[in-house]
Amino acid sequence: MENKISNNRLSLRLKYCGGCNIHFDRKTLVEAIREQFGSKMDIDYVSSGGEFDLILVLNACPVACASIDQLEAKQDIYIVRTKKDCAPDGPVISWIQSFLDA
Amino acid sequence: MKTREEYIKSLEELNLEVYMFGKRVEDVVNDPIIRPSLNSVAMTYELANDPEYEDLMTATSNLTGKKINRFTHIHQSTDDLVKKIKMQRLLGQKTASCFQRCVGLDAANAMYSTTYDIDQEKGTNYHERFVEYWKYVQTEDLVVDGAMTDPKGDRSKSPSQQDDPDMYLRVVERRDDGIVVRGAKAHQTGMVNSHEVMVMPTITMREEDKDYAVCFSVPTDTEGIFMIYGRQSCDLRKLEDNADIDLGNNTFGGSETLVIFDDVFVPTERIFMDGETEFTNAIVERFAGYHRQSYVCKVGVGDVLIGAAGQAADYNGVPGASHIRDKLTEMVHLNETMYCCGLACSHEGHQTDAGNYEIDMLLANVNKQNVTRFPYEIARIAQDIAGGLMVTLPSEADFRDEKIGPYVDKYLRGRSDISTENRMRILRLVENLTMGTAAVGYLTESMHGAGSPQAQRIMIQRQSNMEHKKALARDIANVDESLDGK
Repeated sequence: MENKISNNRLSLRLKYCGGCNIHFDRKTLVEAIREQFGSKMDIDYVSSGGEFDLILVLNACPVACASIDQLEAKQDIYIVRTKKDCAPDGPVISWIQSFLDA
Repeated sequence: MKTREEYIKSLEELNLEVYMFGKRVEDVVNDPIIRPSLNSVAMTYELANDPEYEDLMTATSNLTGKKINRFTHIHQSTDDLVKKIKMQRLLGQKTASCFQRCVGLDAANAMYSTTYDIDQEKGTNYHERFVEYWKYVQTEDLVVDGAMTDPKGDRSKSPSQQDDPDMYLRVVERRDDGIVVRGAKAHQTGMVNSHEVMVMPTITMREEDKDYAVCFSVPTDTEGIFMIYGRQSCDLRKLEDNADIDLGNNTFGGSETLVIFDDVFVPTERIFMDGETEFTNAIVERFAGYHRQSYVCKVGVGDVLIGAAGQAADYNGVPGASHIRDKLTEMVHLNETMYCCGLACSHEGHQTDAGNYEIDMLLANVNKQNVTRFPYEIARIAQDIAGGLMVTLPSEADFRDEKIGPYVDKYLRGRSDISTENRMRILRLVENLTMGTAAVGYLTESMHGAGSPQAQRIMIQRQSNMEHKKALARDIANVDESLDGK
């Protein structure tokens, strides 16, 4: 599943940290992403490996311990490190939109 | 990796011999008293297969190169040690119980390095046997009960000095193809939900205790093995009709059994130590060290209890009271102090000769020493905040009763906008964790599991490097040792 890339659509992969200390509302952010971009992009989860256009690393606290050594994005990777990053109308949304606009 | 469903199916295929209340349990998997403990272990499978948690719950095996459940991982770095405790905190949060699977993980890492050390000195092939066995455990994603604690009989006597020679598990027969063992292991957390049991000696032994210095692993339904289920406070509530609110936690729990090994055959390929008494100290200290790190799981359970106390205060309408806020702060302080020790002993870990990583022994023992105390204080404060209603609350049956239910609903309501039922649920959760079935895991297990408090104090004393501290003091005080002894 995670290695499939749509030919026509940008691929966005979501990588979670383990979530032992949840300070940020990742759920609302992911819901907002799926609602706004679900029909325009190929969105799925990723564990490790594979080639994707964009990777969003969803850390739950500022420690940001999600393992990303095995992840490579063809275009860009965004690492959530703050509560502000998780705002449903915040920088992550703008970041994704910028690639769709390009 | 197995899914939750595959794990449960695999348990159904075992033929475990379990006794409770004087009778053999016919359906171990679905028994209402046992099932919550199975659900806790099942959560270790469920979360490993969930993208939101897999970063903590899985690892890459150094033995097979495959993705595995972290509960079967041989630690390859200090980062692995840190991820282990984060995983344990997470599982504590998700189950508010003992999830039972750490003990096999800790036994495996202790056995991995100890079998290597034995082979280096004795020319045996225990490590190769163990690695082959553990590949099987990782590939099949099995739950392994690490069984260390013997009944011990008269504590002033060594295993071979006991009046009853079976008070420590021992080899009673050696054959060409294996050994036969007899004895028992007490307080076996999660054995009833495990596929395999890995046996280790419980104390440092001398030459005369050779037959007791034995490590091996067998399936939990091997002929001759049977379990006697341990009672827990309030356990019979699980048998009540439609039991829900009164359970406090109606889904998860922990379990312990007394496990009897009544002349059990162990094939040669499953023997990892047989008579090497000089390595019993290493296996005991290493297993205990890893397991004293593991007790950081109580931080996750503490997160739930602190949340329950805070919620009870909200429902009582006093969340802003200064003394309530101060008590909740104290609970967090105690909880995070335990977490600090768990993190510290992991970050300060080191590589063993075998290649896997071991925690810092001093800090792991300090961690467990705190765990023997802090959950009790957290529980005391939770009861303080919850109020006496926690133990005088009528039953759910009264609350549901057509005639008296409305009175319970009316007079036991706190804030008018909060349902009495929800208030009851939170109070019962506090009860469950501080004096009900879950208190076995959160309190007494915190006291005695992985060694009672004095065991940690002995290790802290041994590891404390006192001579270095004295030298520091002499240096600062400009002590002139040439003046001494004159």
